[in-house]
Amino acid sequence: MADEFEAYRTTVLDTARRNGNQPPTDLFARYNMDPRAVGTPEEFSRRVGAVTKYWRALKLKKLYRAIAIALLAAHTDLERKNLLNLDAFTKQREADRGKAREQLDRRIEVIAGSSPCITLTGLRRLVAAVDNAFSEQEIKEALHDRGVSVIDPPWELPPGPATPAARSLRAPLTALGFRLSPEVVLGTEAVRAGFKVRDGFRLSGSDKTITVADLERARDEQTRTSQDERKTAMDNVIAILMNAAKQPENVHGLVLWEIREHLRPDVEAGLPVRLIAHSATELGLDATEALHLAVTLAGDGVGGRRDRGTAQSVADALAAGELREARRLLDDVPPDECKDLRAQLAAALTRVAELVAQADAAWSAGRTEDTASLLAAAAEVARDDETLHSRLAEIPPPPVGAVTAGIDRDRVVVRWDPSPARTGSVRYRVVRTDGGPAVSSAAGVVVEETSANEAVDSSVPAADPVHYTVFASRGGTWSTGSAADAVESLPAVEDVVLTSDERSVTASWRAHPSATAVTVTRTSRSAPNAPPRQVPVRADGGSSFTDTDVRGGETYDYAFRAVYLTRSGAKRESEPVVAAASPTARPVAVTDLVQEVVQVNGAAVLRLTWRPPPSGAVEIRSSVDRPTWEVGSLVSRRALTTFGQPVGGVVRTGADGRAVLETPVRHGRMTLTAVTLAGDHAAIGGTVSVTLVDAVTGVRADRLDDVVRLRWAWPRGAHLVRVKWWPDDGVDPPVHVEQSEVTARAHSSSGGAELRVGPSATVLAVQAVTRTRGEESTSPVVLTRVPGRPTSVGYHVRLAGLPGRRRIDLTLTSDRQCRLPAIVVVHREDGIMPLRPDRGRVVAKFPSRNLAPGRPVSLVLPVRVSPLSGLACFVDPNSTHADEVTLVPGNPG
Amino acid sequence: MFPAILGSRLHCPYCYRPFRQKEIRFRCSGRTGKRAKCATALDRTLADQLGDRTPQLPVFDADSRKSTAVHPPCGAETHYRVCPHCHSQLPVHFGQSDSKMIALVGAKNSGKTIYMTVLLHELMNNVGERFSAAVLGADEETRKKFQLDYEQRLYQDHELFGTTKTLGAQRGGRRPLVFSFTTPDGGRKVRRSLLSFFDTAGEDMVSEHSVDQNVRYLTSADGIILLFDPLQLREARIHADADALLPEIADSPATVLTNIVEQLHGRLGVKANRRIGTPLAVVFTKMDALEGYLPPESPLRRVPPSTASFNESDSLAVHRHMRALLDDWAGHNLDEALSANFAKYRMFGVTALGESPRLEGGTRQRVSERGVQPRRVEDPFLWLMSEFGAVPKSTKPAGE
Repeated sequence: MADEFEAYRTTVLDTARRNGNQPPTDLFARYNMDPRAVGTPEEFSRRVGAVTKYWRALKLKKLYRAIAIALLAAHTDLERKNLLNLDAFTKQREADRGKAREQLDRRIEVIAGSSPCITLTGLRRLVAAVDNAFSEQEIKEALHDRGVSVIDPPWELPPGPATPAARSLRAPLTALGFRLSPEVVLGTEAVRAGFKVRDGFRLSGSDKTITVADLERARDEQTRTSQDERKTAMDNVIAILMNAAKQPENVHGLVLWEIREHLRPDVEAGLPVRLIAHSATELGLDATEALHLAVTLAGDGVGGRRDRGTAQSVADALAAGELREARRLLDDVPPDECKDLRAQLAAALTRVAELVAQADAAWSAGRTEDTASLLAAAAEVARDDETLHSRLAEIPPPPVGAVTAGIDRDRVVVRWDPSPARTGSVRYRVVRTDGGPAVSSAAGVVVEETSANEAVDSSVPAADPVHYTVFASRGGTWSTGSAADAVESLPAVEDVVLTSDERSVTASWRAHPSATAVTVTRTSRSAPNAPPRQVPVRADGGSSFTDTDVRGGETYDYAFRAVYLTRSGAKRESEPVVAAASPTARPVAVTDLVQEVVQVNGAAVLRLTWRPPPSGAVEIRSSVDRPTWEVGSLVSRRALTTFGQPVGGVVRTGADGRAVLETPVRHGRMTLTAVTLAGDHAAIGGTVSVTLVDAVTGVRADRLDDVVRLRWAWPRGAHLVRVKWWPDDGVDPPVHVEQSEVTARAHSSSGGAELRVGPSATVLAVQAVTRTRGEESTSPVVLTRVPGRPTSVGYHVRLAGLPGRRRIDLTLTSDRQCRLPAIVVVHREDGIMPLRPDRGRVVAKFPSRNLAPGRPVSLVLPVRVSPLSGLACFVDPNSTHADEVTLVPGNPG
Repeated sequence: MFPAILGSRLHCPYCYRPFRQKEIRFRCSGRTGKRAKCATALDRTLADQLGDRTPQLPVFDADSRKSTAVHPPCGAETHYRVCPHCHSQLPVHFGQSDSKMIALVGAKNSGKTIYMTVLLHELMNNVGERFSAAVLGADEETRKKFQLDYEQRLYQDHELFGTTKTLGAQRGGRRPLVFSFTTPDGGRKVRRSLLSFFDTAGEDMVSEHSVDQNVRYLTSADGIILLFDPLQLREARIHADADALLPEIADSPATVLTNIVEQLHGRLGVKANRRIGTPLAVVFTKMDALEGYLPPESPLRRVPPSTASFNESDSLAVHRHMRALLDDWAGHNLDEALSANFAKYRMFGVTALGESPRLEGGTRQRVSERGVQPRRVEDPFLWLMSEFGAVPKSTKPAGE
């Protein structure tokens, strides 16, 4: 559970705790639920239950006690008002979003009036302030609408200077009359004219920065000047800068720190951010960066972070009730610091001392439970004080209430009312003794130590009365014991198995090791009032018998009793275990099993019929293969379990007296065998095999040049689909047949297959196939025909000839011998290819002509047109052979 | 196809924001280190940016020039690098391999989600086999989401997708699907490209006031695939096959194109007298519905080349043909607008389903019983990849 609620605790509960232990207003957030995941009332209740359980667990932690109590109180209130349901939660969320919107608007109004931007931390604070009713993105957009931007990514300001020597800069710079160190190298005017520092220090106008080479040059110049106070100051500044410039980011860190130091007094004085930004721009910092820096510094509060680590550790220790740890930490802190924490520690220690004093007084007055309560309270305040825990453990709790012990087969279950102790975690010890109850926790056999109210003894001695006594403890001293009445265990026999055939009944069982014997009696169902008859048990340990004195068709009840001897030699018997057996005649095999597939209510059903055999019940079993046994073989029931599965369904008797079983058809191959069962035997009957494969449906075939794109709906149960194709030339049977097999995976990706069939008319045959252990079953064939395609004549236009004598050539290439009909050449001046003759101007006509396959024929257009992309050829609409060719355009060259 | 050098600008394939390699951050691995093990908590940035509210391990800064870093509080080593803006885990070779953002946009009901699903399925299967390319989801969520929510739903359950929610309607933003496209690069070397697909809603493209991520998506894209449904054009509708399911008339292609042009001009800072340099593939979807209208010589009636290169001749033939069809349906205004605004654009005619969906229960659409039968869906993608130099280009006439 801890893991499940960890994110909830940190994001929701910790925020609520910091907000003064106010439960979150949004009920979905409060109950850690996603509205989409709690669609049903059961799921909603389950979620609410899990969260409230978690709150109760949190109540035990001091840090979360206040918020947990507030949450549970609010939960009770919701429960009373009948508002613990999804509708109520949703309505409240909608109402709260409205209120949160107003709150947000007011806050944004205030922000917009005081600052043009805020930090990411400020944005998150806003999110928390409206109780997470709006996301960061939504609030960012609302701020943007009011002209307030978010500094994202945030400006991460280092806690101190980039190099320790930076602290020594102020004095030489003051001596030189500079405010920032870059002025030493770049000059005051250049720096004041503007610079940026966020992504590295550089001047705004020229992108100039400070390099080691610049500094070396400056240093060389200094060597030529005479030694005086100014030279010393310059040398110091250059040395510090050179040290920093070894790593480029150090220079910008150094300058940033200098700016911060200049702005620190303004920030500490709480001046408005615009004024702080103005001070930064006076130093030369870019206006936008100045604003961002001012807002970030104002948010950080500049300084005051010293000793935060130790102080935080002390605060954490106090919150966790670790007073000794807190005292140890505070001993290392100077006496004048962390005064609040010292006061808190002192108050806690005083409280502990008071509680211990009260506990001592209660102990003297003999009020042990009061003593325990007071010590527990003190231990809760000072959790790391082991002495208090030890003292608490030494106070024995009051003894437990009523104890009961009951027999459950061969074990004893002991239950008791818990100790009325008010304080501390109480544990119980259960002790077993014979002769009488235990007088101390150390007597007898310890059965179990537990904090529950129940224990189980699985090692109970048989046929001897035993006593169970329960003692309680808080971890140290045990209370006086409380005992149950004596119990006596007489375990019955177990695992009784009866098997029978036509002439005998055989039994086996398991008795408790302490049993001295097992007696078996038999009664016949046909004579229920006759006295039970003793059945002799074999002498080999007494765990089986074979009763041959039985009659076929009769049912016998056998009663098994375990016999025990007590210590005094008395004979005791367990409760009887009764099992029945019916000796039966041999099963007779079914030899006339018949199958047929029929349609029932539109669905295919397999109907099986057979003549009922004279003895035994018939079961139909389905399997992959036929049985290895011959028809008429007699096998055991156990052996039969290795063969196939029983087929469900109700057997009825048909008009002709034959038994009828109808079962749904499965696609593929099924093998069904009739088995006759009687007693422990099974007679193997006839077997039938059925193969069902659906034909393909929805076949569509489209020609794309010489390829046929064939598609169909995949038939249920098919392993693959086989496609065969041959020329549609009337030859039967076809001579040249090609074949392809398509798997379900390939069909799923493309819906069928693309087959290169050539230009002629083609017949395609599609057939579904299933394969089971090498055997193939096929569906009926579905035939489809695709017509042949016309002759394809490609054409290509290109500009040919020398400059000044340019002409347009039209080249025609046919893929087959053909008589090309008359063609027209159409042109569009906008360069778009005409799709029909009437979509452009006819610029040329060429008469009909013969074309040989693959042999290009070039024609010259009588006119020059441009652009070539606007040219297209069409069969002359007046041609009588318009259907015989397809004119395919090539890209103009 | 150059690996990012230190300091050069990279774009996060999840939030599309730019950053430098040195700004890359790390996420703790959660392994047991020298000190106390780190715990998971809600990552507010990830939740706000991409709506992922799964508890995450902490994010921290370290030397991003290295592929691994040690998380100081727990001492555990990690190789999980994250985007400094949205905290998404970056793919393994991010920054070392080429990263190409391909924006997939189009009007409402133009079939973007179906097209994206079929395109990726084809890249993972037939096209992948053709180019010896491996296309794999670059992160766990892409792998899971693509398989369950997209591929399985369309190819196995035969269900069509509902209208994609607009970004405005989705709290916390939508997470793009990111894939790595790996092709052999001679010898034992391979060439990797990261592909980021962002499933936009059609409405996101018709309003000029699109939300931030959408605009970032479009302007950071290295190539744009713009989908048009020809059945939205009244002149084309009348030629649709009798059994074709006609969509409601919604946004005109010109509106979508105008908005895209304005967004790109505005955000990319393209001068008024210059054209946009981002290559644009203008794709007419659902061409199966117009199969009866296509003339016999149409290149869409031919089997496209299947060699391991992008066939320029075939693509140009399709482009010419689509221009002619567009002129027939809508005049030449759209074509003029494209040539006036884009330095490189090409038209394509494709069908993702291969057949009109069938209506079930009056309103619910399902894939035909014959299944998904795509044609030429990969052409626009291969054109863009050939423009980027990620796949070879062939100028041989189709069929040679």
